[in-house]
Amino acid sequence: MTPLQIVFILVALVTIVSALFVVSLRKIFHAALWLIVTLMGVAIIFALLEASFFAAVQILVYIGAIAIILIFAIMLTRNIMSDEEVQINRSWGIVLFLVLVFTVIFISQLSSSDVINTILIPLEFQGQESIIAFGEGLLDPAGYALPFELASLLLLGALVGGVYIAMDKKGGENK
Amino acid sequence: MKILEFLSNPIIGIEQWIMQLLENWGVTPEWQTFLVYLIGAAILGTGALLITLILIWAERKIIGRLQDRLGPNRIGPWGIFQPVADMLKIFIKEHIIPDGVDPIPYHLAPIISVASVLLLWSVVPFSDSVRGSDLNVALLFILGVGGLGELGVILAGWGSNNKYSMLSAFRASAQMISYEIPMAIVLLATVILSGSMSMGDIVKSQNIAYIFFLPLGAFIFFVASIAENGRAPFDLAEAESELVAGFNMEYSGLKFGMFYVADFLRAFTSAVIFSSIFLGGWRGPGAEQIPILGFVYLLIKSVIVWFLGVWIRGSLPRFRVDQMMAITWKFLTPLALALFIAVAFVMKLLENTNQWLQVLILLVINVALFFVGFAIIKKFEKEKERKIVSSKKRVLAQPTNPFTQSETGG
Repeated sequence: MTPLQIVFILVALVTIVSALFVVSLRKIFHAALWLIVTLMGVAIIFALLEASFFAAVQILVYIGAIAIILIFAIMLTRNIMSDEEVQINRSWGIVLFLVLVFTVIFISQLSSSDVINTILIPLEFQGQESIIAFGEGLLDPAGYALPFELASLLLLGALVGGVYIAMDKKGGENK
Repeated sequence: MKILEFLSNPIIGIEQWIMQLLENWGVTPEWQTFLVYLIGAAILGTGALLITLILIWAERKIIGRLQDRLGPNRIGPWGIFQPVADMLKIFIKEHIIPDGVDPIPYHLAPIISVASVLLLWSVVPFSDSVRGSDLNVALLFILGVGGLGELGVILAGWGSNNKYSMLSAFRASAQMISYEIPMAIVLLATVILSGSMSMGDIVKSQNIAYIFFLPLGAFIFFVASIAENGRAPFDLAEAESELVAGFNMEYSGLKFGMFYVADFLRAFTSAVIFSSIFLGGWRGPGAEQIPILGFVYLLIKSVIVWFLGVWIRGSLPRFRVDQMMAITWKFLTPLALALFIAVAFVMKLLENTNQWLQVLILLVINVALFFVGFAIIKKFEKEKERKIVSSKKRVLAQPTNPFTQSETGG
């Protein structure tokens, strides 16, 4: 076994276990912390796949921004930390059964398909070339220019909406 | 001749020697690389932490002289062994865990704080060939790891189960998130200049240091990095007079020591990154032939930048919270955006012209933007009225007549 494989197995285990903690812990603040561990694990897996741009963006956006905002929301919300809430509802048995059935079907069907048995090919790009290729793909009309611009329009709309909601409409004290 | 060759590039020499040794032991090539990187990372981390000992002494001494004091002067010549004594004291101090802390965040916070600083050293190029990792997204990595530092502060504030720690954590994370934005935009402008996000390429492309291309950008980056580090005048998170001691007040012994070390190391680390991005890093006369000179140049440049930070820390009073927010959102961020747009246009228009022409035009644009920004601020400063919050009457420590109470409650 190469060191890379050992690292991959360790990281994958940590990612899965912490993802389980995210949905099963009673203290929601701790769940948010485990979510950060999960996202970090995904970032490391990106890095192992030589997708360094996605690894960095995963850390920058998901941990540096989204997880921190999430923690803020939890810290600023009252009574969200109570331990008395029941974590499961009445129909957990049937859900578990259905999930098991679907899992068996999926695994038995997908294990023979080409999607799972993809062989990884090392990238031919050196240094900056992969990022430059990525950027050109995003802005190329034949590539992903339209979805990219639409996503940026969506984000701009969300930004303007956020400012509008936060704005003091009456003029108020601070003009 | 061989010894000279080794001395001119000792790190690579040692690396090759270890590789050879491992190969003779029959280690496979993959494990060889893994082990060499592991040893390198351990040496780099330990070295960075040991530098902190000297930094703490130097900073206390400089701040002492700035404030007309002597600074540490008891242990060793000029008090140079003071940090060693402090370190020993902190090692043997009792470690008190307050009642009611949230154990996981409480114990994790100091580790994340130190780790987030040490991670930054992995992308700094020390010479043409010696660096931790030539990451092709190093600039994004620097910003992302900065976010991990925020996490350490939030965890410390939350885990301590103390309202002052919590308030301080809110202040600190609001400050760090806000100042990351102008910093990121300025870094984008340097990416336009160099055409690369890797630190190695950025240093190599600086035939003329980027501080001449982007003096305003360097200024914004410098201010933002002081604020990111939470040092005076941006030390709102550790305001002793308002918040007792900030987010780290419930920590004692070694855990407090870790926050302390992280604080001092972060100041020097951001100086190293500043000098790599704006001052040409390891570049200097003869650095390409004799790699060890690169270390010296980088060290000299970083120490100058670091001294500037210490000087500011010793001279300026603390900003208020609203001033701190106004500086980034109303001054630094709009300026950084304007600068970014200007750089993008100029570099596209002058793509294939002489580098000196580019420098000249960008220099003019930078200075003009700086003055326009200041003029706008001056104009609004005159128009804005400030409400007087406190009463103008001074509170008396002792009432003149002990049987009556004065108006101000004295």
